[in-house]
Amino acid sequence: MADFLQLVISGTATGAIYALAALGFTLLWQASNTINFAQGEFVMLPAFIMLFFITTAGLPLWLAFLLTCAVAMLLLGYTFKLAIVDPLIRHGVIPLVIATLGLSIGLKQLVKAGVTAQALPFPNPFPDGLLALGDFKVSYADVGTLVVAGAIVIGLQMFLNRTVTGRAMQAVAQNTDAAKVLGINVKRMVLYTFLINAVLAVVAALLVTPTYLAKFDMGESIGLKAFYAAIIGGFNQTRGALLGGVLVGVLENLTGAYISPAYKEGVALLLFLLVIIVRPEGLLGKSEERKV
Amino acid sequence: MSKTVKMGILVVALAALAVIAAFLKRSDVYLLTLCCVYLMATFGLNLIVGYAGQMSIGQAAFWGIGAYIAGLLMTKMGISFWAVLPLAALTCFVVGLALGFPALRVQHHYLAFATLGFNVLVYLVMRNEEQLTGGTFGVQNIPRPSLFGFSLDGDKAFFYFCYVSVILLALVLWWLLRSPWGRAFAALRDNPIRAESTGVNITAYTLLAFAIGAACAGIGGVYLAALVNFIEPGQFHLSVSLMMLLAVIVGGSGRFFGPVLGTVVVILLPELLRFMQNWYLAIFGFAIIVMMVFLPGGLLSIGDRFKASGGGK
Amino acid sequence: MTTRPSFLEVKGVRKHYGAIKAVDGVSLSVGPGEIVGVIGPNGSGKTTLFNSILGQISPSAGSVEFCGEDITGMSPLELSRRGVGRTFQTLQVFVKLSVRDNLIAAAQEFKGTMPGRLFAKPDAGLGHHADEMIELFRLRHVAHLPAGSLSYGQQKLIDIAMAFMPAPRLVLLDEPCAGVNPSLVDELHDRLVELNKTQGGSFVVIEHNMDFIMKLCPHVVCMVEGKVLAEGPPKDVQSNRQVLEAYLGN
Repeated sequence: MADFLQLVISGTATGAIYALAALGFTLLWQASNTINFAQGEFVMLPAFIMLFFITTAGLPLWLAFLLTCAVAMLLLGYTFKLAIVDPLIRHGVIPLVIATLGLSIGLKQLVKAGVTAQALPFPNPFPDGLLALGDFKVSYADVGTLVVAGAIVIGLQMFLNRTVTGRAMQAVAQNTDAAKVLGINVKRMVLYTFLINAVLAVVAALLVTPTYLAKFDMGESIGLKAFYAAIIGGFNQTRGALLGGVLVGVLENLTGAYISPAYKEGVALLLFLLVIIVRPEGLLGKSEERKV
Repeated sequence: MSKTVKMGILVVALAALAVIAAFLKRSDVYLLTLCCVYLMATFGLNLIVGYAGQMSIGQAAFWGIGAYIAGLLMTKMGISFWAVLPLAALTCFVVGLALGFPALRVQHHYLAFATLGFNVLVYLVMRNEEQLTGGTFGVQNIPRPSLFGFSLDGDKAFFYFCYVSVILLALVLWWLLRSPWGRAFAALRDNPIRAESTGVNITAYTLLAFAIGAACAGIGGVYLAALVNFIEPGQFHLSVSLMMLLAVIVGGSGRFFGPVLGTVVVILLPELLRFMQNWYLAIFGFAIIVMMVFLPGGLLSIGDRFKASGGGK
Repeated sequence: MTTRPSFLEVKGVRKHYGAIKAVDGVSLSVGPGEIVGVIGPNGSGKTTLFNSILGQISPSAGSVEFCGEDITGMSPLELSRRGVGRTFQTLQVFVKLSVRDNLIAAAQEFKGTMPGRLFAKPDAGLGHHADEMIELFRLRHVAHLPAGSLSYGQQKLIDIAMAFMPAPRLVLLDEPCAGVNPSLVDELHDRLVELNKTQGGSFVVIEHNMDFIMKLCPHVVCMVEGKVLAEGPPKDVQSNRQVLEAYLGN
């Protein structure tokens, strides 16, 4: 029983990381019909940037993190939107998808060629070791991840629901034309969404890289899981991304332990397939009406 | 430019390539053959994406199913290439129907998700089911066919075989698209609401486009198996499907020769960039972004650009 | 009031969006070969009524019968098979196809079977019919251009021609004159009268152009706020005091 709980908790922690990436992914889709195939690389790149600040510039982790957030917002938020999304979005979803695919390849190979093809270690933001809670033990890393991810999610929800800007962003996501009529600066709200996505990715990088190491291709698996999580939870609901991420994380852990490690990858896929067949709008999503 | 002139140029270009190929070195002939085999799959994908307006991120899975059917049946049961070919096409057609049917009944964009999931599933099966597929070891020693007793083992001979085959496949697709079915595909891609009101059975046509496109990839897979003589799951990973989609879009989705240009970009461009050594794939990735930003309709839409800025209405 | 034979019978159709009653209990009947006009101020529910009859949306209540068959909520595809066609308020042509292909596309699915069409001639045997339509609507000089490259008025004509290609028994025309050059409106009237004679189908026409409606339709229905306010011969409806108030009041 204790084992089971441990697996669930650490699965939830991993899931929380997927959830952060899935959350950004969903926000981008809602706000601007962008399917970002480079989302995994958006997590990978900050990992390397933080490493750069730590190893080359000798900065402490927290400062590297903050600086990387700034760099990410500039590059993966602002520049990404300006140079790639804005020119392409009016041509429909597909050209943009292909461009993000190109971006994914470009970033991956850039890091591989420019930095290294090896996996690099990454400092742990949380103390090593286990925390004993009664019968079972959880790692500080898992607890820390849950706390940080939880704080971010709650903070984001509060921002979206309780501030004027946040509600304006939600309005843009739900109905861009109506938002324009209400005088909301749609462009700026969309930009904020991109900036938020960039920061979410940096946080995800901070939480996931210590365990999985920084490698140029680390984005592949994270990107795919984020995609699964977003669809499983419900692509048109931000809370769906959280549920989806956590579900994927927990089920993966349980499968890996009780069934076999080989099938760990398969379980997220299976859940994904089940959801799109049985409940295609996602577990928390609202089914879309037939459009006239 | 009149249609006859265009046709003439096409025939001359095809003949020229055939002649040039005779003088190329082995590795280049291999690349050209790979282009032909890849093109079979991307022609099919263009039918799905460009003509019927669906998104498929699983074309490599059908390429792989065709390849594994060919590889396994030819090596383990000694079945001939010529028998395997229609079998692979039919299998992929049926699987395509089966995959598309539940996905389409829900919402059309779920076909994209279903194909993605399908590709990952097929890849995992190929990788894990060692008994059946050889697992990560793949299938080896796949033979090349012979045509009327004439062996096609040689690289150049096999190239010409693939070259003629892909031209034949293109002709079949051309005929399909010129028929009323082609018009129905164009209608349903252009304006699904109106298409439905004019009696176009969107579900039926989308499914058919998908199944035919899948069959094309299956055929390509059989040729691939014979080309590379050794197949393994990594050749049919999700990333390959994404590359095929990229090829179709970059070439010009919905344009008949789009896949040709796209295949050249995906297969030959990285080779051309090799002089950049480690950086060549990074350049490739960013080149794709630039291509899409400047020509979102694909490379073949460059003609439209000139008309728009030159002619003017 | 004489009883008119029913071909299309709309009974008590309602469409509610939450508290908003877009269509609030509308009944009307159309006879074979008849031309009925539907008028009313903006927002009176005319297009919503059309959409409810034509399967784009399902009505909240009520029924629609066509030649005695209940067609309530049937999809556009099934309706088109039964000879019911429509034009759209926002233009819906196939912008990348040529004018001629647009017309052929509008009728090819009713010719023969699907497998049969794979092996048929490229024009599905409809080339001649399409050319006739092109002549009728004076579109010969643009017949091979992509529909999207033509003027709004020309695209409107194509939209209407498309609706008539399969010789439907019932056509619903949603604001056919909107955006059309006033000089073309008379021509449009003549075309529609001609098509009504040669094909014999019934038309239901939504329009704001009063002259057009009064000239074309022997029977007119006026809708206000989702309900039928008045109906009858054009002169009667035009001089109906409630109708005048509804329009002037807006």
